Amino acid sequence: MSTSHAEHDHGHGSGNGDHVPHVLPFKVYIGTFSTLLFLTVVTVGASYVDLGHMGNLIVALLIATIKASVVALIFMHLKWDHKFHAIIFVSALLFLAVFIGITMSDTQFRGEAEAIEAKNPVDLKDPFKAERAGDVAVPKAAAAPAAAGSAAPAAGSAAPAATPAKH
Amino acid sequence: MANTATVDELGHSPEVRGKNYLNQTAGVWSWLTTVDHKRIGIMYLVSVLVGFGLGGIFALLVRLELLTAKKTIMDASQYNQAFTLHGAAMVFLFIIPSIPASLGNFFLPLMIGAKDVAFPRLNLLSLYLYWIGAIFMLAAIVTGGVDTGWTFYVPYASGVSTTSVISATFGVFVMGFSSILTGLNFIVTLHKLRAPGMSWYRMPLFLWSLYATSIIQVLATPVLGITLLLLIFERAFHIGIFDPTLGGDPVLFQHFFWFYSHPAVYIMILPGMGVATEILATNSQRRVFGYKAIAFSSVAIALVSFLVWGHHMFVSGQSELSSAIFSFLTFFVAIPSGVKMFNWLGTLWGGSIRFTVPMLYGIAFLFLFGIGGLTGLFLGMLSVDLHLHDTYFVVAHFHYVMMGSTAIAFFGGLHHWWPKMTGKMYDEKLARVGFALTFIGFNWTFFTQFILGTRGMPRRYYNYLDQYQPLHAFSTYGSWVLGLGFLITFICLARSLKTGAPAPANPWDSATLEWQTQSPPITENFEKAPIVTLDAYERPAEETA
Repeated sequence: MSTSHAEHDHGHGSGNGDHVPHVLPFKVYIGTFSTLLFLTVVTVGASYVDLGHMGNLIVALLIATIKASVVALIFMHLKWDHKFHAIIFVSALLFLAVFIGITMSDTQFRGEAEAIEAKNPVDLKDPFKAERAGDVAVPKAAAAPAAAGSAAPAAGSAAPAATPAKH
Repeated sequence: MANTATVDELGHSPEVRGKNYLNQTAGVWSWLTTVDHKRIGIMYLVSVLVGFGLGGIFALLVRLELLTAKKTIMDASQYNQAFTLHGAAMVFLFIIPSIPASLGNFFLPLMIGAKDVAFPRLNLLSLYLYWIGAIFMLAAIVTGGVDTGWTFYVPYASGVSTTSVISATFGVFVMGFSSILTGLNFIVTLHKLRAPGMSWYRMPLFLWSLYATSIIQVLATPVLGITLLLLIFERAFHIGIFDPTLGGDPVLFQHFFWFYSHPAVYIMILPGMGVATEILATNSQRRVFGYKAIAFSSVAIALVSFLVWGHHMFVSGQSELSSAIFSFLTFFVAIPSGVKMFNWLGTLWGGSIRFTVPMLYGIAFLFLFGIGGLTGLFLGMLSVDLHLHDTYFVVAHFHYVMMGSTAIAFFGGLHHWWPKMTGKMYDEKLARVGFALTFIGFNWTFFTQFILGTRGMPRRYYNYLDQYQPLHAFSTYGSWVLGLGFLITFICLARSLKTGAPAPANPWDSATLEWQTQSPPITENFEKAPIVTLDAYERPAEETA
């Protein structure tokens, strides 16, 4: 952003108490506003393109981050401010990334173990028997007779669900 | 009482002698409009003690109800309200503002040699916001109560409960701003207003702990505010965010809530650790062992606190991947906590230990925090937590951390700084009795609950199986001893205001800066701005040695 403002040299928060209001040309504000509007349209448009659940999420977050950065850098004058404030701003972004990122380790992977458990059902009345059959490698010869039993322990059978170990 | 320095010995001019922040101006209006951090600290102190009393009454009622396996004194819905209000009052009205807003407000500027905090008016605003939030919470109590638990879990809180959830959550929302403003004020004050010579590594460690706490307050509290606002929107306008019947995700609420509320545990415990450090250093008569290790472990705890919130949600239905990540990260908290514990023990080692009343609280803190912290590791382990989750083991664990550690440190700090704040000495014998009953009553009440929990007693149950009745009754008897201990402590401190002997400037022979002015201090704290030439906890004699 090239401007001819002498105020830019002062920066903000220089600590000398000589705080000069920082003014940008009107066209810069209009340009920034137009950019934000354009990116809003892109956000809405992107939601109509199927990039997969994760793909759409990443695109939406990317556009939102760019918009927030434009607001902070130009509208909030961070670009011409003390560099320490930029560090604070970037830390806030990292902080947000931690919050959203770790939360997504839940929302994106929720229920995945259920499929694994369905393959190796456990008889709640005799869980350790099922563990021997399902989770621990059992010689095929020993596992075969059990596998011939009921595959639906919840139906009241006392016999454990004993599918051979597959993993 | 090694040091009997008088006001005159401190070099105060005749104009200042006899004047202090308490008698400088008089009248209720002078207090309500004050910007003096000491008066604001005192008003916070009275307020949080009222909150503590309120939460304590609900605690005794809950324990009384659990004396028998069926109905004892209240019906099930009243019981739900009683444990909710106990938790909400203790967390939001008492523990979170307790040490930072009362003792911190009073002593932070004194300990760095400043006249006041950086933004005195903002400081007063934070007190008013706390009061306004408290009024909303009290309004919730009288207009139908709250029965959601202090965690306000959805969808019960957003759509099912018929109690005054909006009033209570809005109160917490407003109090959050109070917390943010206090944190912001402390950060700026510590950066900008340290006296000449008071470098970061010369600051008392209480201030490092307040600094770490302030970071959490500023960063985490807005998330709670947003979460509670979303909850209010969902409840009031049926906007689907968390309620599955409206298309929301209830587990997402728990993520939002614990993203604040786990760091909030460290908002509660870090200042307690800071107070304990001051007490142990003063009463060991030596410099703190491992100063930098303790200082940076406070900051490390603050940072790690943001990465472990999901360990409250192992059985919530969150993904197994998430649970594994959170369980792994949780163990990192043990490292800076262990660093602190061993450095405190290192401080005691070879020290000239005096068993003053504050020191009794300080040692009790070490003992109780040891138990509270280590049982946290049990709960951080996935396989163990599946069995102990939502049992009395969890109740016992967090009471050992919040009450056994933070509240004990708070009362230790109160006894430590009471002479400075009020200018009065208290009856040490009575204070020891109060401490002994508190310590015995606390362990009696809550250690029993570890056993109850491991035997499978779920928390928050109104009726329970007869097999748990003897242990429940035993725990309830302990709560009466605990209540009596606190009552005696209050009587002891309150009586000292009338009959206590005048306090000297430095009754405990402490090395930190707040003791280098008169008791109680003048409004400006120091007549001349102090120039610091000694390291933290260094005494003048050491300098010449």
